[in-house]
Order: sequence, then structure tokens, then C-alpha cells
Amino acid sequence: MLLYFMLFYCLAICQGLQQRPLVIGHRGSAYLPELTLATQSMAHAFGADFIEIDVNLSKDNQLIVIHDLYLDGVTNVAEIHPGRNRSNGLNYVIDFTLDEIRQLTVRERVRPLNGTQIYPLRFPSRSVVPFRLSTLNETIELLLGLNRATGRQRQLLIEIKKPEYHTENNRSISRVVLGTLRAYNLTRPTDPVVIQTFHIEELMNIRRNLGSELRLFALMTLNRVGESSSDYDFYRSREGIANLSQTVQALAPDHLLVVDYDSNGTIVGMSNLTKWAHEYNLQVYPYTFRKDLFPGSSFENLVDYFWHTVQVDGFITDHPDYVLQLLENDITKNGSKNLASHLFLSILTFVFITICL
Amino acid sequence: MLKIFLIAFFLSKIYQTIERPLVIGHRGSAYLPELTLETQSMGHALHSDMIEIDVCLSRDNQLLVVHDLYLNAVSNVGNLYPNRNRSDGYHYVIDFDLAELRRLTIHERTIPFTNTQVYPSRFPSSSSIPFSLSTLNETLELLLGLRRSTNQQYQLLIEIKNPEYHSQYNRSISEILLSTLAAYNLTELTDPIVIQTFHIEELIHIRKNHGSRLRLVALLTWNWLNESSSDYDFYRSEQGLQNLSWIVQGIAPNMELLVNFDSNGSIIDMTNLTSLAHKYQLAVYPWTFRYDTYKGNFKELIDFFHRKVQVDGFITSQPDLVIKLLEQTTTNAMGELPGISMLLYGLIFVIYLLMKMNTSI
Repeated sequence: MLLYFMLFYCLAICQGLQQRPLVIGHRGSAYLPELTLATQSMAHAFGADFIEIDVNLSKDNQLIVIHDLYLDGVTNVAEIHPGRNRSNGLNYVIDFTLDEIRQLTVRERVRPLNGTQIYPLRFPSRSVVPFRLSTLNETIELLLGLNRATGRQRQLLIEIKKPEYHTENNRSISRVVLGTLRAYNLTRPTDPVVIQTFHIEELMNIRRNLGSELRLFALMTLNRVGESSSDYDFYRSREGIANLSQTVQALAPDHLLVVDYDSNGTIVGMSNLTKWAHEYNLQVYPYTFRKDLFPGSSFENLVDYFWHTVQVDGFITDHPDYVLQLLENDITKNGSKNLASHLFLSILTFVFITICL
Repeated sequence: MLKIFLIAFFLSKIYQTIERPLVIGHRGSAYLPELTLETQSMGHALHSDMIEIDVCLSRDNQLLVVHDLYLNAVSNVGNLYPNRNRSDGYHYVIDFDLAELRRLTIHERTIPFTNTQVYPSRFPSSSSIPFSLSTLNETLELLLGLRRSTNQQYQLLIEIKNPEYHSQYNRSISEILLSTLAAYNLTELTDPIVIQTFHIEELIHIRKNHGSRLRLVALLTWNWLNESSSDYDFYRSEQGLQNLSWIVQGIAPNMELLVNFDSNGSIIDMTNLTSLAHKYQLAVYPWTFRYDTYKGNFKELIDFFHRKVQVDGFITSQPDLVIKLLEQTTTNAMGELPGISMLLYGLIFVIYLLMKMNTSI
């Protein structure tokens, strides 16, 4: 009888050990101004498997951790360096040196030239807390130092912004990134850094010409967005995915490429992207899951669908703590449901046997 | 019999949901240089109920968030301002203006005038990341902004460092603190701010003369440390605690005032301080629980303070770890794994059935 119970108990435990998809903290997390060291620290504390950051080059070839090519969305550049903007009114990162960039204060994202906060419920953009832009070196030191201090091995997902734009400005941003990583001995697929970019041909350049062994992810979007010269219609096709699988380890597609939505925002089905990617051993990490854009319980349903139906390998999200919680509750919920039903069955069976004997 | 079984079942479920003691992130958390905005953010993200910070005054009366009265253990002040030290070799916060202090780079704590890191397994003190000192205003804005963006009820425990030292310079650090808090509308018992200090008479002054309604906590230590002129032997006595209970909401004693340790770090027994404090409705928040420096079994330590001493909170450098340990000891061992509890209740039920069957055969 004891053996019987033990058997079911063991089966139940095995079920409870199922793996969850990865959680990637988009620009760190939503709770503090994007990409600051403080918000990256929060993402690390929440338990995000990856912290996703973006890099751009400054005038003096320093890698600045910032999402846009210009500074006006997240800093007070117009106040500190007046008159340095281009004709469109914006101040471009590549027009400033690191020293000039260090004088800026970072705040929660606003509409440039307008000042209104883009995500109204987030950290107040008018706050006087002096957040600063950081360099890639500092971000790497933060990750490695935090991994050591906490004993937890989180990783960095580095997006190279607009390689073609940087090439037009006579820079090879990828070389600078690889050189910086090499200075920290980060060169192998087992090291806690991954590089991603939208320009697929640049990924091939990194892998083939620059000879990097680091893990690479291919960001994918719709051609009409004009993000790069790559043909995403091709790279989303079966042939394109097969092609990509020779260079990269995963795809990071806009979630619109992974499922089909109707005009109300309801999911009506999924594309073949994930299926084909998995056939060619590529993982799939769609972006971006923002809780504050989904009313009611629709965010939970969304995560559930992507996990159990689409079977993506991870989530790129502004709210890593929340997604982690959803994923872990789902595991324990399913785990204990199965456990409880197994035990109930075994108790009933035992009682039945006892009565019969 | 079935009724007893059901009652036992429900009671155990209720026991599982009883709240755990507060967890207070000491100087933010252990994982980044102390008291920086980054480590405060981590302290909050790790779900501390409160984070603990320290404030000192600068020459121009700004409240700086820094633990020591001097800057040599956590900054590059010696390199940046080589001639501004006092005769003892140290550079004092109160000798510098805010603009000068903003130029400093902060690093993980080292032994002053050496490169030796005080806590070797923590964030590397040689890192080139330019952490900075923050002001109390910035710390308050971080707290309030995070409360809004996360919808979590984070709180701040503010220690006023050495009020008597500040009085020697003709400053009332408490007054500056209270007016800074008032500027952010933080004045009530229910606001997410608690003030603490070692100088008990200063707490009395804050409560009686300034009329503050904020929650106050009395830090307690031994007289021979000369932390302040207060007589801690008196304040630890029943009469002293009764006096304190008219002014403060809680006491924050060195943990060695609550238990007696032997030379190996094992707990021998407990003192009566907690029960006396509880008699006068004072909460008890001992300090500091540091996992990386405690020589004994950390889990047993937390467990002892939780279940035997019955403290109301833990001031710790590793809030995530203490929260995890507390959640394990709060839930009864059976309830944590639904399987085991189902198994046992199932067994009890089966035995009950068997008993019924035996009596009816």
C-alpha cells in the first residue's frame, strides 16, 4: 500500500518539475525609467532570465545604452545642450561625446518636443531623481557584479540598434560591441550575453566575417515598418527560417508575426512561424508583452495562449515579475491539480481494494 | 470524528495565511553598493516591506543618504579632495557642500585607506560603475514613484545619524528631515515613513516639541559603545520601555540584546526584552541579519527569532533570503506541498472509514 502511494507521489513530483518559458526583462523593467542601472537591477531582483538592453554609438565611439537614435525621448538634452539638434528638432546620440552625454539626466519616456508621458501609470517623468545614461561597460559590470553578489546567473540580451545607420556614419558598431565584450572575456556561446539585431545580414556578418561564437537572435518585424533593409517576408518563410538556422539560435519576432488578431484584438489563430522555427531548432521569443496595455484579465489569457497553444520559448516583457508570477502559478496550479487527482484516485482505489478483500 | 477532522483541516489552512513578520532591507540590500538608488530599487524589487536608509547633513544643510559621518569607506573622496580631510585623516560629510558631494563616485564598502572590501563576496568594490550619493529628496521620489508604478506599498525607515553630533554644528537635523518630509506630504502615522535614531531624547523631542505624528522607532544598543548620550540600560528596563511606549511605536535593538550567543554563534537562550516590549505594545525589529557573515546556521537563526523570540520584523541585508525562510516557517510543514497534506488527510479519512467499517462488521 505504501509503495502504491509512493509511486503516485513520485509521478506527481516529476510533473511539478516542468520547465517554464524564459522571461526577458524588456529594457530592464517598466517600473523605473527604461535601461537605467536601477531598472536593470530591479529586473535582476525579479528573477528575469535575461535583461534586454539596446546600444547606440556616441560621437567618440562609446556604446551608450539607449533605445532611440536620438536623446529627446528619455533625457533633458535640449536643456543641457541647446542648439545641437538636427533640422528635425531632435538631438542624435551620434552627435555627442560620452562626456556630454554623461551630463544628461534620464527620465521616464515622454513624447519628444511635447513632454507628455507615454505610459501615464509608470514612474513619473517629472521626477527629479537623477538617473543617468550608462555605457555598455557599466551594464556588463552591473550584470557580472550582481551575478556574483546574488549567486544567480542572469544574462544580458544586447540589441545593436540600426547597424546600417551606423555604417552610413562610418562606424562598425558590431565590431565595437564584440571588442567590448571580449575585454570582459565574453566570447563563447556559454557566456551570459546574447546579441540581437533587426538587420539579418549584420547577424551573418557577425557570425561569418567577424567570426563570433556568441549566441545570436534575429529580431523580426513587418517590412512596412522600414526597420532595416532585410526582407522579413522572406525570413519568415520556411526557406528563410531554414536559412536563419545556420546563423542564429533564436528568433525574436513581433508578436503580430506569431499569432493572428482580429480587429478587436482577439486572437483568431497562430501563424506557422513558431512551428517552422522549432523544426529548425530555433527558439522563439516574441516581443513585447506589456501588462499596462491589456485591460482586465486579457493579459493573463494572452500569456496562457502563447505558452500552451503557440508554445513559444520565452516572453520579452516590460513586466518580468508579473509574467514570472503567472508562469509559476500556472505550474503549481497544474502541478497540484494533477497531484491531488492522483492521490484521490489512489486513496479511492485503496479503499475499494480494502473493502473488497 | 469527521467534524474534528474537518475543523483541524480548516484551522491548519488558516494558520498558513497568518502574516509573516516585516522584512526590512538594511541600507537597501546587500547586492549593490549600500544606499545607492540602485540598491534601494533592488531592496524594493525583492519585496522588502521597508527599506532602511541613513541620513547625514552636508555643509549646506542638505540631507545626504550615507551611513558614516565620513566618506572614506564608500567613495573616492580622498582622490577627489586630497586636502579636505581632518586631522584624523577622514573626510567628513558636514565639511562638504552638496555640489561637491555629487562629484563623488560611490563603491561597495572598503576598509578606509585600503582597497580591501569589507564583505568580500558582495558587489566588487573595484567596479568602474559610477554610482552616486543621493539626497533624501531623491530617495523619497524614488519611493513614491515606485509605489505608483508598481502598485506596491513600499515604505522607508529613515535613521537620523548622530543628532548630537549635528547639534554641535548648530544644526537641527531632525527639523530639516521633518520639513523635507512635510514638503512631500509625509506627516502622518499612516504615511509610508518611519523615523529612527539611537538618541532617545531626540525621539522625545521630535514627538513632543516638533509634534510629529509620524511613526518612530528607538534604536537600542550598549552604553559602552557611546553611540549617543542615552542610557540604554535604563531604556531596556521595564520602566524605560514604559517611557518609550509613550513616544515610539517600536524598538530596534541589536539582536544580541534579545538572545545570548555562544562563541560559535549558536543561540543559548533569549532575554526578556521582547516580552517586556510586547507588554507595552512596542514592536521589536532586531538588526542586522547578514547571511554572508553569520557563522552559524542562518535558517535556524531566523527560525529562532521568528518562532521563539517572536520579533515583529527583521532588519537584514538579504531581504529576499529572509522572506523565503520566513515563508517556509510560517506555513505548517504539511501545508506547503499540497500533495503531502492531501496524502495525510487522505490517510486520516481512510483510517476513519476503516474504523467505521470495523465497528459495523
